[in-house]
Amino acid sequence: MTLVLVVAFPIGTAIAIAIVGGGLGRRTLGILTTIAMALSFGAALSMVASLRDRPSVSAFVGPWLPIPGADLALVVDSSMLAVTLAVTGVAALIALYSIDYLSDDRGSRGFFAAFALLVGGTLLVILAANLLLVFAGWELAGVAAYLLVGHHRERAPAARAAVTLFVTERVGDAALLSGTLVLLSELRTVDLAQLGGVSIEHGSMAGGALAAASVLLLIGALAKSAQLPLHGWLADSAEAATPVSAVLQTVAVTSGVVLLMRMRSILVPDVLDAAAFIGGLTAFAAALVAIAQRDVRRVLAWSTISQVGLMFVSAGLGALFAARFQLMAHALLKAVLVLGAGSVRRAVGDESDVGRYGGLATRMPWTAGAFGIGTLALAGIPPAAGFFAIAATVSAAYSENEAILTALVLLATLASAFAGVRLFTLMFAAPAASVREAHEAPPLQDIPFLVLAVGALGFGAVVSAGILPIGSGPTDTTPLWLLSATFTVALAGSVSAWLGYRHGLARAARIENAMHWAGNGLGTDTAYARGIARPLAAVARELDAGAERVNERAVGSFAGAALSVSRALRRSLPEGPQARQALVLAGTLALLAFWTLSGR
Amino acid sequence: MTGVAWDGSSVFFGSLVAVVAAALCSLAAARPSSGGRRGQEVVLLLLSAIGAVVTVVATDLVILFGGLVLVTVPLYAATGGRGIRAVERAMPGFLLGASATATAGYGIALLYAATGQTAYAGLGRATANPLYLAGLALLCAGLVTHLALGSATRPSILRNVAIAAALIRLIAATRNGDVALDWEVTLATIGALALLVAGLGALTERGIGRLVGWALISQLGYSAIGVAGSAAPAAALSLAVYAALGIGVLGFLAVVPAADDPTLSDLAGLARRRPVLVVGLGVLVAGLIGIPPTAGFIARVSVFEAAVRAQLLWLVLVGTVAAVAGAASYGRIVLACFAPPRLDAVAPPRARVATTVVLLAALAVLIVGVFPGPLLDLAQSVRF
Amino acid sequence: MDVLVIPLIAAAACALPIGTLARPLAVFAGLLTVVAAGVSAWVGGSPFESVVWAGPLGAQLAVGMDGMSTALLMLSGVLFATGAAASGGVRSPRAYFALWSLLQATVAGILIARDLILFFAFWEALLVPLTLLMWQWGGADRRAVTLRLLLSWMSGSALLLTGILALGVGARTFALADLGGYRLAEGSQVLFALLFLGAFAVRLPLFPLHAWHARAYVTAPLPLAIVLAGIISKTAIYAIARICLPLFPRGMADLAPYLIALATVGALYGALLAMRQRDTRTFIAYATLSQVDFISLGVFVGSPTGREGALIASVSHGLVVAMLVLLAGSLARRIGSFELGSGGLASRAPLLTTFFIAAVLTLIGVPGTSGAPGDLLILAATFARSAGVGLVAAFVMILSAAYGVGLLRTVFFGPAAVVAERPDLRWRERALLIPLLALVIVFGVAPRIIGDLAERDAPATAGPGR
Repeated sequence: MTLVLVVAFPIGTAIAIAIVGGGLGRRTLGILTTIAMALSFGAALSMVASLRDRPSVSAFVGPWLPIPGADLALVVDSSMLAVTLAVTGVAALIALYSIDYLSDDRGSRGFFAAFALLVGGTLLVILAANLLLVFAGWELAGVAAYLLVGHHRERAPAARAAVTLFVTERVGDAALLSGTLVLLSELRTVDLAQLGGVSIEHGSMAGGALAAASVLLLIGALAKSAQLPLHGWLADSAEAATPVSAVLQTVAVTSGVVLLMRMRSILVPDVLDAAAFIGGLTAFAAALVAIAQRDVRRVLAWSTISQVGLMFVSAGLGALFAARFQLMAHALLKAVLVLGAGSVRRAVGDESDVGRYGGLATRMPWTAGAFGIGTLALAGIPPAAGFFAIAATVSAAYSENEAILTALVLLATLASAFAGVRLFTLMFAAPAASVREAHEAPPLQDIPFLVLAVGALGFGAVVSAGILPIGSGPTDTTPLWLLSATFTVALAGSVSAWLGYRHGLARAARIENAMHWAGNGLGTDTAYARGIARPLAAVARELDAGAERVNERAVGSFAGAALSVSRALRRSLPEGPQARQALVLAGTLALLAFWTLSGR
Repeated sequence: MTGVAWDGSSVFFGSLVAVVAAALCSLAAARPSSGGRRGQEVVLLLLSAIGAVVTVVATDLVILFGGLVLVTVPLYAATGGRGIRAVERAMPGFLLGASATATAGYGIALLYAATGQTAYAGLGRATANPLYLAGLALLCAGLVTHLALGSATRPSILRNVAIAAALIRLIAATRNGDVALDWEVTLATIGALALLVAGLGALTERGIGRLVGWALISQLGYSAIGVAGSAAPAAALSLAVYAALGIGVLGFLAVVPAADDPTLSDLAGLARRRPVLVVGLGVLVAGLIGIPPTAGFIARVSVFEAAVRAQLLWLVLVGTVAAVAGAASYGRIVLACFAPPRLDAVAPPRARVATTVVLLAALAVLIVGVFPGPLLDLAQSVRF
Repeated sequence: MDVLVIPLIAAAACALPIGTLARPLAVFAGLLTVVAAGVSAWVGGSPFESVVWAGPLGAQLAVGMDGMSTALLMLSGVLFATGAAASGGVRSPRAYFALWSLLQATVAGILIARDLILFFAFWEALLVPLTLLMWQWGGADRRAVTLRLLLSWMSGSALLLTGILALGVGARTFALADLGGYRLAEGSQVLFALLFLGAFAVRLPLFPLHAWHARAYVTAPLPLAIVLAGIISKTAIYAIARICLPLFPRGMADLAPYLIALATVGALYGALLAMRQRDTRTFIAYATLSQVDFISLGVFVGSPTGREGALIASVSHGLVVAMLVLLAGSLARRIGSFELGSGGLASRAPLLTTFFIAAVLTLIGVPGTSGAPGDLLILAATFARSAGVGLVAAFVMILSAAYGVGLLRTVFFGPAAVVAERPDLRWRERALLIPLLALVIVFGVAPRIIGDLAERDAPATAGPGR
């Protein structure tokens, strides 16, 4: 029952706010949402004990669709409970932060409803007992993300980003649903426990279907978690308001990883390997792109893409502990970074070009400190959480003898550390580019922010010490030299970024020029525009001008033909008695001839 | 009494003739013309009705001929009018009618020559004599020619009901005779031609009179299809429906403002001025198209059912498709009434009696459409 | 039976000089139909009645309701009530509402007829009020559009009548209950199925028989567009599921690949064209084309799951089309035309925006709304038949997202627009939308409400093909 509450609190809040939230102000709505998230977190926390003595807890709410297994039912095991805790906890803090960040009441109802819906949808993905319910949560989260990104409806870039986001999400939805339905038609159930229990000969007929389903599910996960080549929406969504970015980059993107983790026993090994490889590639490439960004929001978005890539590596390799660890650590540290960046932007008048910051450490000390911790965590400098997570990932890749993946992860770590420290240096440490008044953010923003920073700092150590029951992993078995190598790489990236950007952007022209090629992302946006959107639009145009007109004209010409036959007929009908007489005679003769010929 | 039969068919068609005659007489009596013309028309109609009853009950060729002359000749006088103009207009029709009657008479003579007797019963026992075939062909041609003449005039309904009834009886008598005649294909062709030509011809027609004429010809086509499917009840039913629809729409013509050869545009604004009348017209036109819940639908379904029974599926297809053309053509009559009235429009005449006749006909068409059982049962009595 | 009589009484009452009462009466008739259908479904009683109607023809006045017709009857009641309520200020209201109620009666007749002749009678009779409503109360170009619709539909009906007569004469009965036990020769089933489908596919409209479709939505008065897209097209789905599938199992199975292909292409085609529309009404038209072809896919694949999905999706689409048309009307009243303008309405009319977003999300089948369960079941049935077709059909999901959010962006997003003084929804408009939205959500969360109805199929329709 408690399990139901975990999901029911956010979704119920979303519905309640949507229906009766009209008269309530921003503060009330925000507090309500925060409390709901906290309650959800509390409910999840209270389940820790009950999972001590059994592997999983499930809850059945009611029947849903007349498809085997498609009921309103939830299930949780210890690993998903950990993810639940991270999602709800971070969400509660982001909700608290956004109360003061949203400047006015207008639209706050829609914001908080969509916020709660996003968390609720993601929780469904994490906790649903069957794939169709996972799909429902998946798509609800997508809709909520669309509404959140489009929240500032007057802003054209946000509107465009919302459309991109939703269409990409829908690609993922369609892929997930297709994969689910292939599994359904082959295995006659969508229940995850039953699906996991089915064993199929690979290479058989069902094996082929399973492979197809696996590929489709992977595509769904890639789209949802913004991995190559479906990552564009997350970078664009940086246009959205800070709390939106925060919740997207900590909560929403995890869905794909969660799907991979939950479907691990069903997906075929090749697809899992592909997931790991794509993840590694994304992690490295996106980190490189992050280095080249000048918009602070985009740096963070690309960094998120990169970090989620690391989760894909672990999940694909079957190192579920590492994936989970990375997911939770990243949720904490990225929340710190995004919220911190939001406070800074607000403080300097909505300026988001990193070249125009600098010297803010003295003016916003709390923010700078917390942001620094987040940066260290991102860069993988111990004792912050990031290091442990990255080390777990590296060791997973290494223990699977995946040399390329290990290299990719280390390279990604290097680039990611560079990008993170570059951002911090330019914002806080470099000389001020322009003199501005900047003040520390209001306490309601700072508190959640600092709590998150503490989490990001201590989480890794806490987990490694085994205090939090999120399952155990192979960190302890990692060879020491690998840990040192990871640390060295992270440190190298961080130090070189510090050295390179210490004097501001202007003094780092060489690095900037070298990275210039990555400034516009990986070129997928234009490729999609050219390769898919434009041809589709052209097809639609041709259909409109061609098939549709032809169809209309065909009917028209049919009618026209009937009309001209009619006219011809009336012209040819005889006028006058003699002609009619002749017609009668002809008819008689025809009748006679017919009877004579047909008679016996 | 020899030469006439008093069977189910006679009762059915006799009653039908009586009802039609009554309706026509009341329309004629209400005509807003002066002098003795009105009385004269009623007398001619009654004479014609006598002829019609004779035609319907005749089972002998001679009596049929007598009835034919009696039913047709007074009608030309009735449709004519006063003055040299009217006579001129009526003249071609009269000539054609006379020649059709003569053709039929010629056919009767040949039939007598071939079989040696004039009773219908003798037709069935004919040998395969060329004279027999020629006689029958000429007789039928004469009768059918009458059916197609002046189809938009009110008295023609009386005449057509009678002649069609006679044809049904005649065909039934020759159908199962010694000489196998392919009536099925003949009538199917005639019916299909009537439906197609009427439907297509009416598509571009704008004169209401001719439009209604086409519509009524296609109704007769339905009867032909019924006979082709050797379902006399279906044919009888559709003939009765034809009569009701004909009286209704031709009665409606009396209300149309423009006196001489009105077109669709003369109907503009009628929906606003005479809404009740237009509702009645709508029912009648729905009947002509064969849309439920009107008797036209029942008639259409029953003749097509008969055709399917006789394995004439192609005929049903042609008929149903022709009905689409019909819908496009005749539907315009009703839709034209909804056009905004023209500025120079003349107010439509009051014509209480005509309106009443139209509404009664519409009501009958509607009632039969909703409760077709009684009429269908009655039509079952038309069997040979 | 009472679902047929109620609107007929309402139509007859319009002949009395009731003036402005006509509209509430029509609304009431619609709501009463919902109640009547619901009562007969849940309270029970003998659902099938039969009296001899046109004896010599073999046609019976056989009426009855099964689960599917009950659901659709209730939908029709809701939609006709909504449409009537939205028909404020029409010219000559008595004639309008008389025809409106007649239209409702014919739709009810189609849904309850258990005899093929009777079914055809209602199927065809529907044309009269529909044509007159469009002809008399339609917008620009109404003559040509009405005629085109009328003739397209009648051409389909011509085939249907031929098929019905050929079937009934062969089986010596027109009653669906008796026809269920009649075995057609396997060879002729395809021909019969084609004859019947001729009419149903035009009315649906199944690609490529949709030439009458888009303009009809532009021309028809808005309330009529609601019932045209909302329930009248669903009667075609109903007819395919309730007549073609049980009577011609073999023929439908043989035709299924082609029908599935057409339905899939139609769904894609409609979605692609919907992306290009610059007018809310043609947008709704092409989105509807896409949706109904998708729904028909559920029927054509020929599994119970697909049929149930088709029913749920039909109800959902009916409700959401009503919302969309009402919203398009509200939008047009504010910006003066149905053209998709420069956008920016979101900040001026937040409530309108919210409802519009909810309607579009339902239209494209987002979970939590009634759009999802039906689409899910249809897709599941399609995948069970062929994964390839299923993948293509799933692509419709993506396209529908593109046209849906594309429309929202065009209309609502962007710099604030200059519009009328009070651009947001009035209470009168909300009163119509809120119940529809509530239904959409309820059916989205508990689709079993409809699903259970669909499973209450009366044994009379259980032909050999089921």
